[in-house]
Amino acid sequence: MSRLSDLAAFIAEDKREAESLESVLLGSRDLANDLRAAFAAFGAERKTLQLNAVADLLGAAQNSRWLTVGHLEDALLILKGAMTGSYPAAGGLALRTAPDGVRVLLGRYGGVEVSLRIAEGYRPRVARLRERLGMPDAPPPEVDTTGDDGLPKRERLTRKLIRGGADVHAQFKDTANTSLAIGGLERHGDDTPPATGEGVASVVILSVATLDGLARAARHWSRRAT
Amino acid sequence: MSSLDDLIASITANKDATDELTARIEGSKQQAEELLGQVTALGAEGVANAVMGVKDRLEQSASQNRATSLQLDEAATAAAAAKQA
Repeated sequence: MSRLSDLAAFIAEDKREAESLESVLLGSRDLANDLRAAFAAFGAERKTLQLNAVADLLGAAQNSRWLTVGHLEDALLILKGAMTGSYPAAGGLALRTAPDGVRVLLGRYGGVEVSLRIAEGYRPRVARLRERLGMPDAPPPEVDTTGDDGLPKRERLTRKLIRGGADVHAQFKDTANTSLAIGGLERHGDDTPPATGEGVASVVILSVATLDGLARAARHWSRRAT
Repeated sequence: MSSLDDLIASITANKDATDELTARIEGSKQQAEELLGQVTALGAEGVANAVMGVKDRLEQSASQNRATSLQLDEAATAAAAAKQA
């Protein structure tokens, strides 16, 4: 245990150092941007372009540095798990905020580096979701309505909602399946997933529909109140 | 106003510090490797897997840091070219 703690202390120190270098790097980038602005004000185009390139390279270095810190943070999480007798981060993904403010899931899955950008702030409407995901405006025309007959009204409504966002549903299902597979790896040998991709995607679509309904109701009541 | 010399000095200093950080991370990786040998010999499979994961992350971290160093080197070269132009 003490060796694990020692290793954790070394890595924590590496991480602190990497973070402090990140702030120095930001200073260099600010300097490059100030100089670029000054040269641009003088109309020195060539120098402005050259300083653009310098600022871009410093931006790329900032991204690399950010990943360096992220890997060190992962290592610390794994050690923490080992010291407490659980190993949750051994094969999983860690949630982080990228320099541009976007939340990203980072890690390795099946020997492949995984970087999933989390789309936040979905506007509540399936159509907007579709637009956001770069999908066609309308759902695919061929919708499967088999099995609807005889179902309770609520279940038919659910199926209708999911069909309305069939392509969105498929995409969320795919993402959910990947997440569940990764989750399965983390659970080490637990072959029974607690949820299915189908189920997760349905919950997402229904949540979006519910939010949409609530937003509409709020708008309706605020209009009535005025 | 800060000069291009200040910018070049700032980038170069950061590059040197980055190279030192790579060496430090390599040192931590060495520690992880030693620890891995010990826990494997003890048959502590769970801890061994975790330490293997740590070693893997440290390798990735060092590799990423080397990439940062190269980018800083390129940035310093580009800034030096801007000074001469």
